[in-house]
Amino acid sequence: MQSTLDRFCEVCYSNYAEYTVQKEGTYLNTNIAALRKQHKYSQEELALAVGVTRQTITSIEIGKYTASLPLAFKIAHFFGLTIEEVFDFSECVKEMEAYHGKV
Amino acid sequence: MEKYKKTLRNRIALLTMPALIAVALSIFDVFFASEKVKSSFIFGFQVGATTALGLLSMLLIIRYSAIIRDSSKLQLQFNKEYDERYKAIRAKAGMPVLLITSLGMVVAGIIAGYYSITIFATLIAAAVCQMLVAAIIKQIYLRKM
Repeated sequence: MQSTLDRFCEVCYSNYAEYTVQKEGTYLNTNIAALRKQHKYSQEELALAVGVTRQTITSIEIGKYTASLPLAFKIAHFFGLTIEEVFDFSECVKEMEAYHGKV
Repeated sequence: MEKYKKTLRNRIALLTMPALIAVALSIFDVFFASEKVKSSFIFGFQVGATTALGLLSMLLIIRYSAIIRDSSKLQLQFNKEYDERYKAIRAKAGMPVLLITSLGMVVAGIIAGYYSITIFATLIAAAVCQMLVAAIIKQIYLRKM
């Protein structure tokens, strides 16, 4: 069963993902392309494994689209890593610190 | 994937209805429609729209049947349909609702057309505009996202 904390994290992440898409230029950086090359996987293979289209993988890699929490988890799980190791949350942390600094 | 196969089979069953309606209407139009009705402009439009609906339904039935038989095509189609980015783009373009309302307006336009050509033209123009706007927004977001 999904815990309240899990649900809270999911909602926070989804809100952040939505926010980064709306606010042009602030997207999550990822190292999916590097990991793919390292493990010799094509975009099609990764897309098929995580249940999306190749175009979505391209968009995530080039930073045009921010993956949802379940998709981010699936991608990380595919490479046997954690979400933090695949997605760069440093910008997110900076924004949160700036926000808390203002409050 | 068996659940998705069942969904596609249900869609095929649903699509046979417009295909059969199109065939029935075509038979009615050719053999039973009065000369007075046949001479109107709306009748021509209705025949064209019915034929297009029938053909589209048949094409979709053939496509879905081919997808059900091929497991790799089935997986690709499943991924395409449930792709979160594509779903987000479609939602931003207002796709499901706009498509349904546009189809409703076209049907209403055809029925109203037998009584007033102005209402017919207005409804068809509005439906076309709605679909065009949705298609343009979808294309913009496909490039943007």
